[in-house]
Amino acid sequence: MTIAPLVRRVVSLPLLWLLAGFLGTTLIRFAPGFAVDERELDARLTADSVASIRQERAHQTNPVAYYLSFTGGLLSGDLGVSRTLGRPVRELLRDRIPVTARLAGWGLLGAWGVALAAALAPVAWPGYGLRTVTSLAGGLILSIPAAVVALIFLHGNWPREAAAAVVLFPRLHNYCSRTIDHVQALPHVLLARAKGARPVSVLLRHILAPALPQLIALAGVSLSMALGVCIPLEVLCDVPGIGQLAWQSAMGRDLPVLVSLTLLTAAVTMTANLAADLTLFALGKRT
Amino acid sequence: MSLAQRIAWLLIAVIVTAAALASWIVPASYDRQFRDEIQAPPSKAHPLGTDELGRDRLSRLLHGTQVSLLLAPAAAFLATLLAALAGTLAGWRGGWLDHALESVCDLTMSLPWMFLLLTVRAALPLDVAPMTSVAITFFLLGALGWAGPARVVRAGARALRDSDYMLMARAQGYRGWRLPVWHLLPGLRPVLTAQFWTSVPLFILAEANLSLLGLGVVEPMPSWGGLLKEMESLPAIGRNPWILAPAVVLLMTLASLYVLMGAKEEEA
Repeated sequence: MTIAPLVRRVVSLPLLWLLAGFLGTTLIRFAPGFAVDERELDARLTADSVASIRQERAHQTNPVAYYLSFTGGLLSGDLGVSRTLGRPVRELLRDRIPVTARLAGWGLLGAWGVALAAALAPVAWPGYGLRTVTSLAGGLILSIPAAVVALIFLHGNWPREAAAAVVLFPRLHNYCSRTIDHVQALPHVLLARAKGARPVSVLLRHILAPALPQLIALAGVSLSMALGVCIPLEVLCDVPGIGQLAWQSAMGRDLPVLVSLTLLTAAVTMTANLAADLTLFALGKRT
Repeated sequence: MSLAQRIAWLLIAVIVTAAALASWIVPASYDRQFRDEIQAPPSKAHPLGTDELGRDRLSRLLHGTQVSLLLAPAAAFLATLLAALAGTLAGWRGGWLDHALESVCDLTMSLPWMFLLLTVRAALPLDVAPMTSVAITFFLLGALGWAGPARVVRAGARALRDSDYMLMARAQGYRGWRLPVWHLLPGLRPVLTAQFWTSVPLFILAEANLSLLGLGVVEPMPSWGGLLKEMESLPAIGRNPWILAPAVVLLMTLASLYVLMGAKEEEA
């Protein structure tokens, strides 16, 4: 990778990040039912009380003004108060980020471990039908929606982290095995084999090293995949993480929470992708 | 054709035929409630039993298959069409248009797919008629699923723009919109076809996930995702294992699609 596109990318990232937050704000602001507050249905409330409730949300009606005040608050660490949960968004995120980080982290670790092993084993020990077995397993799991995997793990009372790994495994395995297949067909690998190099040596020295750039790029993308997988897992398995919060706030049109989550997830995925690009640049191996 | 491909074609053919003949196979409508046969076990009249409202499960499964199998390709077509328009234009013209498309793709893909779907779906009306919910769900999948394919199309368009046959077309006097429409787009057909077939299973899965989270196709309209909701109760699965039928049909359809797509890729 040359330096010019990388610099352009670094410069454009904050702008894209802010734009993602603004688009999220606008979308939720104009969602049907945004202005509705079920507290107004309470027959005991007087007209003044209803007016007061409406006044609480008056500052959210103009998306531009709201987003400017939100980003102003963001600089001082104030993310507003959740409309549906009645708690400061900062507190909610502080409580829930570790839960999702643990779920996504262990899920990614497990999925990467199994996916790499399943992609590399047929190369190290060819002729045992390992490729067929791993491809079949990957294809079957890929055909099951993440939400159904979540239900299976919920009913089996198995670790949710393992469910995340199961959902992520086929997606990673698919790409890993394609990359490995592509590299092992290159002339230098054929030459190494013709010279009698042992399969494990071919794998480590001649296949894994050239495949590294693509695998690093996949590592950046896999974080975004993991965050997406956490949503159905957390909602259906009742795990109090960011995914569940996203679902609750989307259903309740909770503007402060949704904007904060949009900015958080965009920041995490953009940073992961940028980190992958920077690593590739440092390695100087991007093809 | 390998044995796996033959089995995959056979399964797809059986499922599509059964869905197409749904009204003939099961005369009962998917929303008719047999109040005397609530949670009935499989019988001659109801081969997969009835649900908690007394609706025939087989009828719902076949009509749900119709919904998912018709609308996932429709959403994939929309996504591919948008990707073709944006990717061809950006790859052909280059410059600021190319940078703009790259930024929009970055923006769309900076958010996890499920989070984006969830947020945008929740921002649209939730209390809608069943048919409207079907249209919203699959329109959303198509409208949000174009960014990834657009990048691939753009890369293909850039490669073709400088190819020999485009040079020849220019030399023959083709100018303006005729070049991309008559010469570039036909060259991109393999890319577009691949993107379409890649999107179909993705959209089927996305609909299933959305419906299980309560943001997809709404009752009483059946869809694969909606039918999977019955799996939320473990005791119910124990009592009526046939409620797993939609999961089995979904699994067979997607696995068959992946087998056929894999074979196509190997041929290419």
